[in-house]
Amino acid sequence: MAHAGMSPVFDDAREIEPGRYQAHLRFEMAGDWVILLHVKLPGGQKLERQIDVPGVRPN
Amino acid sequence: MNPSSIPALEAPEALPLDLMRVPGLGRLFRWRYARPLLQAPLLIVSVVMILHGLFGPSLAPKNLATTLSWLHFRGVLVLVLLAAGNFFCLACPFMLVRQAARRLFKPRFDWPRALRNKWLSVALFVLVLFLYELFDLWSSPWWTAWLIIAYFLTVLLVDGFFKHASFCKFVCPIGQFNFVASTLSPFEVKVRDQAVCTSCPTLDCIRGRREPVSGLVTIRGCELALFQPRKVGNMDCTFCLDCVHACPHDNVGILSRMPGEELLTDPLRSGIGYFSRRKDLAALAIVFTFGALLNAFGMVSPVYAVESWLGKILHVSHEAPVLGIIFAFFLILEPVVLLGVAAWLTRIWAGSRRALLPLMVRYTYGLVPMGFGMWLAHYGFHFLTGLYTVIPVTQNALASLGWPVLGEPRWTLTGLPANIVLMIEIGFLLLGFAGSLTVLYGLAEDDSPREPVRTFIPWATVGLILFIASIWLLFQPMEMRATLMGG
Repeated sequence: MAHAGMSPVFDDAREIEPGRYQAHLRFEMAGDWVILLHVKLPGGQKLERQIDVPGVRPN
Repeated sequence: MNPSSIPALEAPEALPLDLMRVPGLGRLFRWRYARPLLQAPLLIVSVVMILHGLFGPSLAPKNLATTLSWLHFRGVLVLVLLAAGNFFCLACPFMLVRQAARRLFKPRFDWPRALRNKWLSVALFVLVLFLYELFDLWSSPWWTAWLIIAYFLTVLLVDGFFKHASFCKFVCPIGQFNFVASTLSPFEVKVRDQAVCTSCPTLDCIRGRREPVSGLVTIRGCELALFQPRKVGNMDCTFCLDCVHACPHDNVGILSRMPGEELLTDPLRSGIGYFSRRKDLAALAIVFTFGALLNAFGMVSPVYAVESWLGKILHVSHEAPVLGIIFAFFLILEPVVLLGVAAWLTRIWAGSRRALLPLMVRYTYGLVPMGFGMWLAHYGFHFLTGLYTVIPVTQNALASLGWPVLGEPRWTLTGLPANIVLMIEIGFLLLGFAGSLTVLYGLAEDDSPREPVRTFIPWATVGLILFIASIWLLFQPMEMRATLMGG
């Protein structure tokens, strides 16, 4: 649940050990966030996953 | 030469700019099919929004229904109203469908007399604002699509049964918003020369142009009962240009004027009556003005603290009753208290002999510029900060159809930086506040030539309270309105 057009945040995930990837994202406002993962597999296939992060509280 | 013998040079009266006289534009507007030409693209976009809303991505920032409705349409709407006039109603896609339907079904009934006012549309305006908050319409492409479908169906139902432009004048919440906001627009559909109208025997602008023999109407007159020679301002005018096309003397133009000047006077208006006697219109102005703050309040962190607090007190967990109380506070209690106290002070301090309610009705219109300033700030924020988001959303929509002609979605395209947009928002609020002070002082001068300042101060204080509240809202942390897009 999110408003269209609000500023998105981006980061590229880096492999920190085989099979584990890490990215740093800063939620710039309170609310319900959605993380969209765009993954390119070794075979060239593309994968998209959505992770909901509801109820982010203000600092 | 004796200087006193030199005749004083009088500054020539500035002629208003007439958009109908602008080369190209005037020719377009005079063309009988100008309206359908402008409506057709919006109808196509509406159909695309419905289809994408129903069958596209469920995430609002990736869907054309939510992106175009809640960012671009609202933003462009208020900016065009500010810069020009009610041109959205001119290009309204709902009316294009209605016109097509009326070729098949002729309406038979007159709109009920009891409903020939703004009360129903005021209630629907409030209902739309309420549903927007309750169902978080901004976050739901599916509900947004159904809202557009519901709009089309309601238009067909109302104007399928009832003659003239019943939907526009008495039902449409977007139309009412446009009517109120367009009182502050710099252009107005207006007769060029009153003398031409005085000698006009046919009155085609209101009756329509007819076949001489059969008497059939070939070009419609005004469907909103606005008789051009006695029309004042933009209230209830959809800029449909029927009067322009019907006038046999080419005497109707789209003329420039001072924005808001129609709020300063209270003449008898064709199709409207007197502003000061229309409690329903004043209620519409209240919902427009105070609803602007309410709609913005719904997107900042404090609203959730208030909702949580009210929920605990009332022992309810559902949002509807809590939201109902917040709406009642913003749209009933707050206006009644602020306007009531201002009216009471006007009576006891400035010696006004008007009763409280007529005073409240009269001065409510003076707060409309402040309300419009807040709508501009709010909708302008979403529009400008998300200005380019329509590009990746369209790229994504086409790519998902297997037709990536615009390339891969560039999700990094967003809009203007928030700090720049904040300055623009503050500018809109200052403009609205200045407009309200100007109108309120004009009304005070008109009512109390001897004590204009005493009459003005209570109402200016109400305007100041709304201005401070609006500025406070701008600086509140936003909540529930964020998203994160993958690159």
